[in-house]
Amino acid sequence: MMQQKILIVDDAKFMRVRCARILVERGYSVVEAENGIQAIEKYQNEAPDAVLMDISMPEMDGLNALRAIRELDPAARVAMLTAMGQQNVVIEAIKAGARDFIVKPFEPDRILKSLSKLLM
Amino acid sequence: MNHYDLTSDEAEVFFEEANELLESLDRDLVGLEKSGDDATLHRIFRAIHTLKGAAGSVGHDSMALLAHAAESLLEKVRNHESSVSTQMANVLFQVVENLRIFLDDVLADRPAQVDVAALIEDVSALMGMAQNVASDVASDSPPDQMLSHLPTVDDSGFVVIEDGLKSGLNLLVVYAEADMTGIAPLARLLQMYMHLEQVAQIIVSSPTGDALEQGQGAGNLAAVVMTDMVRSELEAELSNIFEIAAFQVADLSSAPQLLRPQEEKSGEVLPVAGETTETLLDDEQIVERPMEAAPQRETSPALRTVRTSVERLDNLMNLAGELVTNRNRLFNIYEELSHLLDEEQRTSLNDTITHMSSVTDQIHDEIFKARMQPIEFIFNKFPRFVRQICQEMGKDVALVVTGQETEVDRSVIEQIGDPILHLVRNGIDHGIETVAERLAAGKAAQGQLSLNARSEEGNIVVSIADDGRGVDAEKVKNKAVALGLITQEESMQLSYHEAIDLIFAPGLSTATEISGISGRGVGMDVVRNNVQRLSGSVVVHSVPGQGTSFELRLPLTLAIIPTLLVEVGSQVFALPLPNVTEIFKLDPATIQYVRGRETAYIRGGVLPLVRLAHLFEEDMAALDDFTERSKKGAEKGAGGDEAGAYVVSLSYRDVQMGVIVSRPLGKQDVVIKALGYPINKVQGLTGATLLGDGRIGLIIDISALISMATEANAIQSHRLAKA
Repeated sequence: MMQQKILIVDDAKFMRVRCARILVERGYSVVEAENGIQAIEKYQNEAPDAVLMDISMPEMDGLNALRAIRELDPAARVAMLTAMGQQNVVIEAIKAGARDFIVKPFEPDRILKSLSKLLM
Repeated sequence: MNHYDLTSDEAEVFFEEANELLESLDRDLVGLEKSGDDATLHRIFRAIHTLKGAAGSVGHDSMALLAHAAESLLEKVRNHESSVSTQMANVLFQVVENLRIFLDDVLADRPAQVDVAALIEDVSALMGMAQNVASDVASDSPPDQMLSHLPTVDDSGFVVIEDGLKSGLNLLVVYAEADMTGIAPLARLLQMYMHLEQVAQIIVSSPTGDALEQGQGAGNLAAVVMTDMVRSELEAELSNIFEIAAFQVADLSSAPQLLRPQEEKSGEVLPVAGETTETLLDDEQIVERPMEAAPQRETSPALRTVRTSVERLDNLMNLAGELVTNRNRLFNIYEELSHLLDEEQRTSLNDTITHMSSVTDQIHDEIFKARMQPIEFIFNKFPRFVRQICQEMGKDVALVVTGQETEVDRSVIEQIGDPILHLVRNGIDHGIETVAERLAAGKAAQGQLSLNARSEEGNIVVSIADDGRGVDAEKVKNKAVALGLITQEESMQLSYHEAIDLIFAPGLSTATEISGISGRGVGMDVVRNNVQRLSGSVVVHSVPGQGTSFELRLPLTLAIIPTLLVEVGSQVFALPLPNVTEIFKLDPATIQYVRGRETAYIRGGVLPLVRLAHLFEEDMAALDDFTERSKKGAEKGAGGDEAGAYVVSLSYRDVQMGVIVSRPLGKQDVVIKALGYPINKVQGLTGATLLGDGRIGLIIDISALISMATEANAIQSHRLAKA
């Protein structure tokens, strides 16, 4: 079976490394981007099966990137990662088509569960 | 035992990132208090936010909680609901301090070392609200009975219901409670609402979809829907949503009348109003700033740099040092062999050695540059430090830092911090007056302390200047007299500059009250001693009423020192060149015994003489062992053979003395190598160096040498000998 490819978007390198480890251990392949602009590029070039994206990032934040990705691919499966207590931002993300949002810090399980739902 | 969830691969990134964030926080918090511009605030927020995420991920709960509290507070500031107060800045500094401790916990893989509950309360108090809204709301009480939350449906709604029931749809009621410990509970409810919209027709919901989109609601959702799904199907559909504390789906197809308004229920229309709603609304107003406003993160320089360990650089430095000495050896060998070679061979060898020599120099320079670091590493600590002292002292001082980009070798970075720290502390403690005193003196209420670095002829010069009261020369003189450092008559003859220079005399600066700030009981004498030990100097300038400045001068590197190599017997010693004042041939006839010890008369002055072999007498065997020279050779040097001997005159502070050596070998920059046991126990040596001819040179610590000689011989200073 083809490895499923996940795009991880986060400006914090540690979070990318952490997510990547969790996912790679479970047999996913991983692509990383460190801001929204890179995320859109990678989404186009790499065609990932799902996206895990931080909301707060420099260059282009996760919300705008989410909107752009959903415009490119209305079926895009995107879950947002956030450590923010900003409900309205998350609400915006849901409205913009995020399938889920995952609160940082997260248990590895939480990411995996979210992904399995995303990829259903 | 692993307290934290961090693999070794991740650790490096984790600590690197966390340390960078903490450093930027130190800088920015000071900036925030001063100007409070949005860009700074944004950087602070982001740093705290990122630390929170990382802390939570590795499982340092206290660290994550503390960062979370600080983040919430900063949200308020960002949202202009709070402004930055001194009190808030203090608390934030404490937060950063504690985050640093927590980071050490992770580094040391130990449980949290500090309890930050009180600090979190302080943070919450600043927010003027209970810190953890979520946990207050998230009582573990079971979800209310759905029936008590049944929304009511009006007449027009009932028309739709009746139509739907007729066409075979089911009338289902969904009641859900969001997990209020989740970070955006209302977003979960919105997620559920949007999901319901896709699979059902929503007759009524409380709160409405619009309200949820606005982020309004009390954490629960009750909806009446018509759908072709049966109860269990809808339940399964909705169970995909995370962070829903409880939800129920009921089929009211056979009992729609329950949705009719009832008298008793009219009083408690959903959503539940009150505190909860208000606090949630607070959260919802928090708007993330557009990212364009964020400062561009400088990613490109990082991509062009590679981090390497200090140890590796030190090794490279030593290896390059050996290349240099071997290059010198090669030149010597070439000189010795050149008469055996024909012209062509000579040219060829000479060219090769010359080329190798230039490459060696370049390698040496490049490694030297790689070890250079901006003095910013030290200066960065000061804004926070100055702030802290000012608070403790009740003074108001602006710190002006310039020249922080000046680069010095990391050996200097390691050593220069403490002297600067002490001088800064001194400037605020003794130099700058209280606000009242300043105003009375017609000065600006806020004092100024400037910290500047520049490089000058192979030295780094750091100046620490205050605009305070200046040094009171009379007070200093009186104290020096009282301490018996000088006589009353001597004190009369001192110029102002000479008088204030006395603050560096032992005992003079420590005797004043030891406040928590002047701390440690370290006096100016210790500062000067330490600086001089590093071949540096510190001088003071002061204008009464206008301020005092200290100028600290240190070589750009402490890893390489210029020396005069001398031979004593067959032992080679390296004397730090800055301390060498002159070299002259010893005329045995001029040696006089003054109070039982050797002195030489030069130009009307008396120069006390020392013999290294005598000073190192007890350790000579070890030194010989170390340098693989025979004891016999050393003894030969130690003894007479005065005829061809030289005297190297050394000066250190006010003391002059002459070292008797067999012969000077010449100037050479040497790379200091640390001494191993047992040689490191020998007093008077700072290190060793490998010489071009394969011998080992012992590097003399002049200050220690002088005190050894003074102890042994009660040497008087040259100045006093003349007097």
